[in-house]
Amino acid sequence: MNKRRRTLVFQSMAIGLVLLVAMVLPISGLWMSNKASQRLEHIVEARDVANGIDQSLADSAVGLREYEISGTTPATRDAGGLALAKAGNAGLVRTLANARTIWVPTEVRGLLMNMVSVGEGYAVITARQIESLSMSEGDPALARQGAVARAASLQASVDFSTAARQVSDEAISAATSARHVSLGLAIAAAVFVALCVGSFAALQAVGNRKRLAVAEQTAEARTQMVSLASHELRNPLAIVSLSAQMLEIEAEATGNADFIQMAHDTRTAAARADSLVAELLDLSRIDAGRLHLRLEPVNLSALLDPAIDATRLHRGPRKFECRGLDSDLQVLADPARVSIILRNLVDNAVKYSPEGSTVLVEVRSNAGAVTVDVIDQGPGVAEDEQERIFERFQRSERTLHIDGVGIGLYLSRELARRMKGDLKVIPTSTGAQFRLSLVSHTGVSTVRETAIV
Amino acid sequence: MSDGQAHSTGGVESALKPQQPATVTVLVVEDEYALRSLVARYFRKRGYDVMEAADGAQGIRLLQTSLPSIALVDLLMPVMDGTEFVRRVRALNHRFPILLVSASPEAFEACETFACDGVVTKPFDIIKLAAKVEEVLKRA
Repeated sequence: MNKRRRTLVFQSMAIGLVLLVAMVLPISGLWMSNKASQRLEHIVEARDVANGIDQSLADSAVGLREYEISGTTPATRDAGGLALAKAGNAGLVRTLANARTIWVPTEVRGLLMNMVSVGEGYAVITARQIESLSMSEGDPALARQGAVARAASLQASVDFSTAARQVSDEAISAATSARHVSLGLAIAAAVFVALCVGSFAALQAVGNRKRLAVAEQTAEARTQMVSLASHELRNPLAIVSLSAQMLEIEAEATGNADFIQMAHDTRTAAARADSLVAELLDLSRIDAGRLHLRLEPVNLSALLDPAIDATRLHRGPRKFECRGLDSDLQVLADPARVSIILRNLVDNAVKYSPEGSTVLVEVRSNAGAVTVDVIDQGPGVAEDEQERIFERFQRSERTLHIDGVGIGLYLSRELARRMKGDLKVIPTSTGAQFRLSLVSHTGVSTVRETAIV
Repeated sequence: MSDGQAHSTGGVESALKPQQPATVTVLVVEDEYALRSLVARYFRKRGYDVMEAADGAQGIRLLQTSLPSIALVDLLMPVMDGTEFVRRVRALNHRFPILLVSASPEAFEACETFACDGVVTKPFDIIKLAAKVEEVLKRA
């Protein structure tokens, strides 16, 4: 497993762990808080029931008392009072039965059950007392027992209430602190996640910055190297060019056509090589932001001939048709850079069109601008590629089988624009049409205009 | 600088007197051997006298014996480069015409800074270079 994948796996595991912890903490906090709340609810319910029991005890006792004092004998006692007493006791019994069914925390279960059973004992005695009162004057022993049982019930109820209050106070504080803890845990989890994400992002950023710095340094070093190497090439090329020219002069003196041609071809090739070197240098100057152009009156036809000548040498003879090429026509431009653009356009036209087809070069001049159209009969440029081909290192999908690096059009357009002109594709039905536009030089002024652009 | 003797190629007298010397001397300051030789050969064939220097220091030393009618100077040279050479020549008050022959874009700035008479970019056409030399000499 390579380093990158290993890093990715570790990172994913770390993220998973962080998320797990982040989820578990608040969930457990919530669970604790929930449990505490439930406890509290049960305690409250039990207290309500206990209050109910107290109330029922009271009702039962009151009923009995009312019946007792409502008359001296069963005959004189108020029947309503008897009903009240029976109802009161029945209510007590129901309440006690209900109390047996509710859930209470263990701490107070014993006390509740005690209260219930004591209450039940009292209810039984009270029932017997009601019975005996309804038939005779009542049993004083039962009355005494009843009083004792009632007192015991009340005591049991107080015991339970006290315990229940304590437990519910504890439950309230537990619930509150559980809530606080759960909130705290949730916040802690959030902070933890934020810190993890933050540090992860920071590490990534640092890593990226380092990688970027390294990449930039490498690119810079490579650009410099290309620049130096290119510069070095110019002297040998100058020697080849000069020697070839001097051979050409000698050959012309002897009249030997072959020698003349060979010498001429050598010069043409050297000029082409130097133009390629100039392209590389201009490319690195553009990257470094140090491209300086010198604009002067430039004769287009003087630059077009060597460009056409160079393609003949490179790719074989091809038919060229040139229209509108006025030998007086001048543009305001940097001659070396116009040469680069023309060479690229003409070379592309030959490169991308079939042998035997004609390349048309049409020059037009109007309203201060001069346009040079280079038209070929090749596959042309698809609409969706018309912008892309001018990007660096871009090649059309359809012509990848043809050689080339892909900087020519990018550089040519850059240079054209920096000379206040432009280079674009003109849509056509067949073949490709590239239009270079430049600023025309009226030729009136003889002062050489120089501009650093 | 000069021993006062009148050389046919110039010397102090040609700097002081405005007359045209008998033969025209071209000083070629260029470190690339073949380039220097070819240029020298061409100008000699056309009847010029040619002085050759492989760097700026040699060029300054040559100026101690005689002054040329015109100098062709490359910029990038070891020991003393073209810019330094031109600076010293102008500082020594020699006003002979100078053509910078260079592939670097710095040549244009140096040309303006030191009042040179033109820049010829490499690779150059020797016939055009010779024409430029003659044009500049006519103006001087």
